[in-house]
Amino acid sequence: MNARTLLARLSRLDRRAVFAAIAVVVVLPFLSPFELRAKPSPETLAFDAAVEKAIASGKPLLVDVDFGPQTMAEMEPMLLALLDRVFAAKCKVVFVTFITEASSPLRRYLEKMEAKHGLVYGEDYVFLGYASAYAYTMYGMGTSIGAYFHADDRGTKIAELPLMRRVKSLKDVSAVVNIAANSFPRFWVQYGVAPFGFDLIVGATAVNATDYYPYLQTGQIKGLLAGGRAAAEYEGLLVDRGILPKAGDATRGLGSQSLALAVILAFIAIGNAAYFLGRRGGAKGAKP
Amino acid sequence: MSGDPYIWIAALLTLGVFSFLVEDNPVFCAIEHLLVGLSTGYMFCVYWHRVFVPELVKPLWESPLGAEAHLWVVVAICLLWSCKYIERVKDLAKIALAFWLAVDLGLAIPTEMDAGVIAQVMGTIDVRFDGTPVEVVGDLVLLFGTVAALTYFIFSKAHRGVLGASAKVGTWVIMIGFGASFSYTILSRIYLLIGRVLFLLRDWLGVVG
Repeated sequence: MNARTLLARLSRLDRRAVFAAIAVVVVLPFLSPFELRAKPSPETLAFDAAVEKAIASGKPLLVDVDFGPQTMAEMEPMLLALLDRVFAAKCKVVFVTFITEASSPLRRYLEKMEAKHGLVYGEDYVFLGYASAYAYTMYGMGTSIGAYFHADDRGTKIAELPLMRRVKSLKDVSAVVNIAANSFPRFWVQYGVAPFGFDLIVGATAVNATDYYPYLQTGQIKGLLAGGRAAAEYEGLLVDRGILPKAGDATRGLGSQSLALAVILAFIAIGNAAYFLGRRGGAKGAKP
Repeated sequence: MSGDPYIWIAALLTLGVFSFLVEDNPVFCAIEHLLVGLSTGYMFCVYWHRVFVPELVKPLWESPLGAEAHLWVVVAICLLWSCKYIERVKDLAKIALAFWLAVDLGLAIPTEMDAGVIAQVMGTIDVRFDGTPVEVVGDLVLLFGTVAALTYFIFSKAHRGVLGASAKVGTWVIMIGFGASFSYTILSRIYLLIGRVLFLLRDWLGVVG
């Protein structure tokens, strides 16, 4: 069997063999003791610097969490790392969500953080709950949060929460952090940053990340975590500074991700080589 | 191995979804329907308990002519929307549509001009000639790449001469953009798989710590 025939056969490989190969390379690194570390990208360093600047200002932070169970694998590690960072620094945080599926997981994360950092609800953090009509609410929060949220997620009136007495509008927060698996960072730029001019810091899925680079370049977004790899980079930064005792799930996935990408690249190379050799060899060659 | 029944349900459903990779099958279809049903039901409950009752019904019920009386306008618009299901009065729904469009566009156009058009154009033409050579080259690539990509979308003139060359470069720029976007998509999907695999190995089987 010559190289061309081998490539032709490989190019007709059953797709299930490709799935099986990916499954094997994703599982194997979890069973090995080695752990990879990711070198922080400029975007991740900008995210870290923007969060530190917001904490140093002493003002509360607004965190908008817009992801559900579908994208939890990618988004959860970056949110948990961020929460550990801000709560370790005793920063007050106001949470909100604009998607229905985010409320339930966020309540769970906050319960864990409350126990871990000894937080007091209403004083150290508040969860405003789900808000519909994101565009109007984002815009409206620029002038009055109380006009758009009559009660928090637990049904307590906003005026009765000590933290919310300090946070009347977005002018009273140091920055808005949007951890989102959708297009909401773009809407925050449009309905929040453009009219009110606060700092916007974004954590996004890798799929959406390319949409936000133009805003990062213009300074409309101050920092960006682009997907699971960036979450691993941020975890690494926090471990190095002693804020996290050990890296989280994003770092654990780096080995699997690297191997899976290597296998995908190998399959792409094989498929293309077989296609071009097949074209040169005429009808006998492989077809795409 | 986990003794939590919820973990078992989640693990078996995950394996059921993965079974689609072998071939389409009734288990996968059943899980697909379950997901759609659960999501819709969950969404309805959240809307009902977080928006409809506390933001509309309760204020009007407690004080119909009080500080929240303007909510009757919302009720009226909702009723006008509902008219589209009644043949004889369906045109009344256009009033609600017109109101919605007016508010939406009134808010979106000026903010998008600021955030999406002016700020982006300023960011594109702002070449940092006093920066490092890499920054200058990067800014020039961004500027000429954007112009080239835009010329590709000029369809009222034949793509010949300078316009043709620019459009061709623009095609390459667009393809590179698509490539970057697609590679990020693969990264994202791999992480989703990693998340499920970690759940199966750690939370369900307990074979990794």
